[in-house]
Amino acid sequence: MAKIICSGIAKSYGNVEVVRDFNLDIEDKEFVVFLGPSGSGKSTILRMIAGLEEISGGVLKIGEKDVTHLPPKDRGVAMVFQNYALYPHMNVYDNIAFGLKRLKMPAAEIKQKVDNVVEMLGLQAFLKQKPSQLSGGQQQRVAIGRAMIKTPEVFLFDEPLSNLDAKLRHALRKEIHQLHKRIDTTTVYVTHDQSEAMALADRIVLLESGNIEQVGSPTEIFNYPRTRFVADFIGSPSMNFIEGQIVKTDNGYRFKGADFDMALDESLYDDLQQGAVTLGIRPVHMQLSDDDAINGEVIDLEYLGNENSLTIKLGGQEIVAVLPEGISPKVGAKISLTAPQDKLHLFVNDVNLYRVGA
Amino acid sequence: MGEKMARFLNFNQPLVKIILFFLVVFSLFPVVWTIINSFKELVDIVTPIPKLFFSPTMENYIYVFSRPKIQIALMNSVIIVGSALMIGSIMGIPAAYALAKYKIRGGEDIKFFVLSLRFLPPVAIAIPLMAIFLDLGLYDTKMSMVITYTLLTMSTIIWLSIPAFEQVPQSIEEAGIIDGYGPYAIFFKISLPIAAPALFGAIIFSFVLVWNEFLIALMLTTFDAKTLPIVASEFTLLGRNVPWGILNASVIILSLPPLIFLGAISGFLNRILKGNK
Repeated sequence: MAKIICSGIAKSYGNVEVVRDFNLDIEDKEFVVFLGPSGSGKSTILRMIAGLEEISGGVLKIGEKDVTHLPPKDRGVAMVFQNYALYPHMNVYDNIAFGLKRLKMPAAEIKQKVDNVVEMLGLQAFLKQKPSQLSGGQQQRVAIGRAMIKTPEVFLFDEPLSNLDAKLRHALRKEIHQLHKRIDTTTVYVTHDQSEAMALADRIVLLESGNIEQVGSPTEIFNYPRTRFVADFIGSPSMNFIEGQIVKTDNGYRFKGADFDMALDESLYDDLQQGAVTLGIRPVHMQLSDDDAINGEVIDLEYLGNENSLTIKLGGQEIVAVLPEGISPKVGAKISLTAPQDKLHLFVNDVNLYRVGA
Repeated sequence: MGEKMARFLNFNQPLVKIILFFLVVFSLFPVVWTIINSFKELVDIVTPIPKLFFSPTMENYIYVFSRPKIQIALMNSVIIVGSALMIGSIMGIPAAYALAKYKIRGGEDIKFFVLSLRFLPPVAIAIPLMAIFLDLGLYDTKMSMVITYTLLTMSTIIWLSIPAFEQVPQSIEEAGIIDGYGPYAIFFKISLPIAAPALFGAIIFSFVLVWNEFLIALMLTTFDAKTLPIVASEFTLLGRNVPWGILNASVIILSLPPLIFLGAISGFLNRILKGNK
C-alpha cells in the first residue's frame, strides 16, 4: 500500500523558487503522469519524491510515512532515468543485482530474483553483456529491470523514452503500460510528450512554471481543458484560437469573429456574458458546413493517410482543420467550416467557461 | 569535413606514405642509434665512420649495473618515485573526486591553486624546499625527496583526475543512491571503476614526470638520496674521455620504465576503447 501525499511541497535554489505549494494525492497503484514543457518543474518534483533533491518546504508522505527528509533508500522508491544511467563497468546481471547486493541477500536468492525480472523483460540473452553493447531500448529495459527487482512501493520514471526513436518509443510505452497492470505499483512518470501522457496515465498532472494547471484523466484534460494553456498543450495538432466577442441577440448568445458569427449553446457554459472572448476549436473537431460557418481560404493541404490537414486563412490568422480523406479542396479554394456545439471552448482571461459534465 | 580530412590523409597514397616514413625515421633514429651504441665498445663508437656491423657487447650494461652508485640510485628512484606516486594517488584521487562532484566553497580557487603549483619554475620550488629540509635535518634523505615529489604527483594527479570524474554522469551516481548506496560506496564501486582508465593515464603521466625529474633532485640531494637521472648524468663528468657506451646504456636503462609504462597504458586504453564499441 503506497499512497503518495504531497502537501505544500516547495523547492527553491537560493532566492529562486522553482516549485511552491505543490499539493497532490496519488492513490495506491495509480499511474500518474507529470506533463509539462521544459522548466515546468516536473522533473524537480519527481526528484524530490525520489529523494535526490532536497525538499525546501512542505511534507511528503509515502504510504502514511513522513519521508520528507529521508534518504532515497528509506523511501521505498525505484527510478528509471532518461539516459538509462546503467553502470557501464558492470554486465546486465550485475546492473540489475547491484541494489540487492547491498542488502546482503544470499547469492542464490539474488539469482532467483534476477532471473524472474530478466524473463519478464526478455533480457535472458544479454545477461553477460555490458550496457555499451546493447541498443537504447534494451538498455532502458535493463534500467526498468533494475528498478523492478527491488519491488519498490513507488516507481519513478524520468522521461524514460525521450532518448529512443519513435518506433521503439511506442513499443516500450506499451510495455510499460502492460508492466504497470501486471505489477500494480504506484507510478509517477514524467514526460513532455503529451501523447505518451495520454496513453499511459490514469491521471495527468499538467504543470507550468512549478504550478499545477490541471489534474485529471486524459479524457477530462482533452475534453475539458481548464485553461487556455492546457487546451494549447494537449492535442495534436494544437487547438485553434480565434479572438472575438460574445454578443447577446434575441435568439440567444452568439460568437462574433472578424467576419463570421455562430450560435452558442448557453447551457454548456458557466456564466456567459457579453464581451471579449477567445474561441477554441480543436482541428479534429472541425467539419464542413453550409451555414453558421467560419469562412476561409485553403492555403495548404497535408495528406496524412486517412485524413487531410488543411491550413486555412481566416481574416488575419491561420487555423488548422483535420478532415476526412475524401475532403480535399484545392489550395486557394474557399471553404466553410463549423464544429459541434459541445466542442466549442470559450476562454475569458485564459480560463475555460466550459461547464464540466454539461 | 571529417570525411574530406580523411580523404586528404589517405594513408595509401604513396606521397603520404613517404612523408610518414621520413617522420618515423626522423623521430626514431636517435633512439635506435642510442640502443645500437649501448651495445658497442668505445672504439667502435668513436670511429669517424659509423660502424653498422660490429660484434655486440653487454659490457656497458654489466658495467652500469655493477656500479654500487647506480644500484643505489636505481633503488632510490624506485622507492622515491613509487612512494610519491602512491601517496599522490591515495590523496589526489579522492581530492579530485571531491572537487569534481561536490560544490565546495572555494573549489574553483583550490583547482587553480593546484594548477598554479605547476606554473612555477622548478628552481623556485627547490630553493625554499632546500632551506626547509636543511633546517629540519631532512636534506639529502629519501623522505625529503618523497615529500617533494608527492607535491608534484599529487597536483598533477588532481589536475588530470578532475575531468575524469566530471565525465562520470551524475545520473549514474544517482542510480547508485537510489539503489541505496552511501557516498563512499558510490565512490569506490561506481565512480572509481568508471573513471579508472583516465585515472590510470593521470598516474602514468605523473610517473613519467617525476621519474625523469632532474633539477629539483639535483638541488635536494648530494649523496644518499640521489636518483637515477642525477647519477646517470654524472657519467659525463668522468674525465676527458666520455664513456659513450656506458652513457648510452644508462640512458636506455633510464628510459625503459617510462616506455614500458607507456606501452602498458596504450595497450590498456586500446582494450578499453574496443570494449566500449
